[in-house]
Amino acid sequence: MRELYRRTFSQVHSSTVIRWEDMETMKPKKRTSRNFVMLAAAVALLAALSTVAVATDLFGLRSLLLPQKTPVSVLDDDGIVIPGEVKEVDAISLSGYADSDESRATAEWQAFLNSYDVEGAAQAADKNPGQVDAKYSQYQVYDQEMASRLDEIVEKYGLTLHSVMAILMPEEWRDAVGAFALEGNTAYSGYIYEDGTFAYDGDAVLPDYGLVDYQFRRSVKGTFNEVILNIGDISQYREWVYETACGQAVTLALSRDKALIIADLGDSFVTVNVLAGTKTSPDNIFSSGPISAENLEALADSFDFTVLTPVEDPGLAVMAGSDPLETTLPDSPEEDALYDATGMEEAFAQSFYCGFYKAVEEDRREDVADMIAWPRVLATESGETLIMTAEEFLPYYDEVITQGLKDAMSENQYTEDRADLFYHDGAVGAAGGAVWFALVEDGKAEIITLQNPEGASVRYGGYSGRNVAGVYTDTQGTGEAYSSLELCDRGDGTYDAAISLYRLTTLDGMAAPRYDRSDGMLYFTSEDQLVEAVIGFSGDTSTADAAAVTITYSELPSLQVGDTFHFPDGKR
Amino acid sequence: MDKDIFQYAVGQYQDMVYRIALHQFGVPQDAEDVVQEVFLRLYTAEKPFESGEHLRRWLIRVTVNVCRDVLKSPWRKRRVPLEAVPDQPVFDKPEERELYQAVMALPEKYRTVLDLFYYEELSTKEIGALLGLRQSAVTTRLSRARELLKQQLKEVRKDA
Repeated sequence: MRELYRRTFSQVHSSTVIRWEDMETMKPKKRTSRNFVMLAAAVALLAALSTVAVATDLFGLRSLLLPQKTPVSVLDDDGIVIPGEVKEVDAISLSGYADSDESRATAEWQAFLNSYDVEGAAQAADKNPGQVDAKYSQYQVYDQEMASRLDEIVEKYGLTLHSVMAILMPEEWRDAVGAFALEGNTAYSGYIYEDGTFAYDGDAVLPDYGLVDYQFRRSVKGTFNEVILNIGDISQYREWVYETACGQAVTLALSRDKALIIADLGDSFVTVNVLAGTKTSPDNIFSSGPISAENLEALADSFDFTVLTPVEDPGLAVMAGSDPLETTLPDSPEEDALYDATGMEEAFAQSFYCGFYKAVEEDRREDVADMIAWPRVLATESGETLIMTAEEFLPYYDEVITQGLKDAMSENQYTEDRADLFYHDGAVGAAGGAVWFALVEDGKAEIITLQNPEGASVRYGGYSGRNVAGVYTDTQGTGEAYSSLELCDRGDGTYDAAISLYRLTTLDGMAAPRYDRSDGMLYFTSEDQLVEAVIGFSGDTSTADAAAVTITYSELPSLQVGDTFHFPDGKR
Repeated sequence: MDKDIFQYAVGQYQDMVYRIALHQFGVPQDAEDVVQEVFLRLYTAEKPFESGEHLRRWLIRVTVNVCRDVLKSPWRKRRVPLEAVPDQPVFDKPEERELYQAVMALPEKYRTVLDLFYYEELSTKEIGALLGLRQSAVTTRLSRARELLKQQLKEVRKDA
């Protein structure tokens, strides 16, 4: 295969003429704000759609309106979340009209979430994973109380829960749900559930207008969805019923800032959130400016809604290759449940864990440290410390690997080579939950959490999803900052980062979490792509007062892979 | 950037950059845009290269990143169906044309790993690091791509 492949593609040639003399006049513009702001804001909006997870008249917006207003974070002019500022907005269900079982269930769940300390529950679950059954994995359920409430609601309204989700790439929509996006209308990557419920970001070129971005969601009836949409002030919308080119009656709603297309397809409910309104600026990054009623009708015409009903099984079982959620997708019902959930065969998991157990038992400290995924936060009675390498962990070994932990491990061994293992959220638990491990790459597992009965733990950085913006410094015991790490929140979970290393170099770039790793770290890439690093934090939102940077790739002579820089002196 | 190195890179690696971008997009026009962007980046890169291999790896890395940026952008040019692409290469043998068409008909996530593995001869670990994927995901994509290719080639031959 390789030979044929090489022979074939050796005949493929670029026809562009690249000349040194032309380069100066073609120097690339520094790709900064426009792209950055666009992407940040796009993701922020997607996040709002997904996590705020909230539309008078018959079949209009008011018939979709949730009974209670919904608190949302306030954004500044750049679309960046202003920490601590919350406002209440009108929100609509994306699951159907307000009197439907699906929407009533969503409203009840939202009312519960608004009255519950969701953030606290999430933090507790981070520290102590494995407390909630895997069947709630597609929902914001972090503890048993939330699970019980969700069960009550779902049972009351006769609904089922989503069990599997897959990421779809642009070219996969047609096979999965049909050719519903017509010419000039593009569906980009998104996600789909086992029942055919799906959502994606797309754009469309409209005649006499240009390009407009939108967010599309089809909610299949009979399944519970927690997603809701913030629509601002419902009194600002003009609404009318329109029959699209495909013959589908839809409700169109147009306000100053956004527009909506709503279609009840019988077995599913479609909402298109259009990122433009009648007063949208011509410089708006999601559109070509103010959108008219005619433009909105043209957008509605660019969907063939008839393709979307009746809902067909998307066949998630055959989409098992869709990364990064592939480990949540069962290849076949007969496969090992542990493998489905974690990517590890039972034998592999037993072998890895028993190796760890023996290393602990035989007090092989360096081996134990080497089996842990670094960096990690070490939490002991005296506070939290960020540990970047196995070597840094060794002085703290006895504070974590205590007799209490050893006893817990020992009690959960059936034999020397076999332990009582269980799984949750892609990780394998052992020793009654005192030890958690996961695959970090093909054929390689690492310990991700250790917690002893005395309360000390080694766990991931706790940054995940929280705002760690600020300036972290290294004062070297003086009043001055010698080195610093500055993170500016871009509002979408990513950060503009500036790393100033005393007498070495200054790096500008971007830091973002890796969604395929869920390790609580930020991954930094310099603008010139010469340096990559992982950034870890101690504490959570309120106590993220120290950070450390470990170089993972470098083309600069002054920085070597493995170099670690600590910024222990507080966040400004 | 030293002019000699730049010209060496263009002569030696322009087709490689194009090939990687073509595998990402499946559309020659988009791939040519990437070629231009990558060499602009090389032109403005103020860095010494230790060897030709170092330069090659740097170009692969930058090409993948440029493609990723373009793929993320909502301003990305509209995709052109394969049948509408006028200038497909002319191949010496029918099986080479079949393979080219079968590869281009694959989803982009499969095409890229195929090229990086079979043509650029990177390891699955290196590909994973480049694409931000676990090594296991690369392996899965490779084996799935091989299966799909086999299937498509078999169908082409059956039709013929």
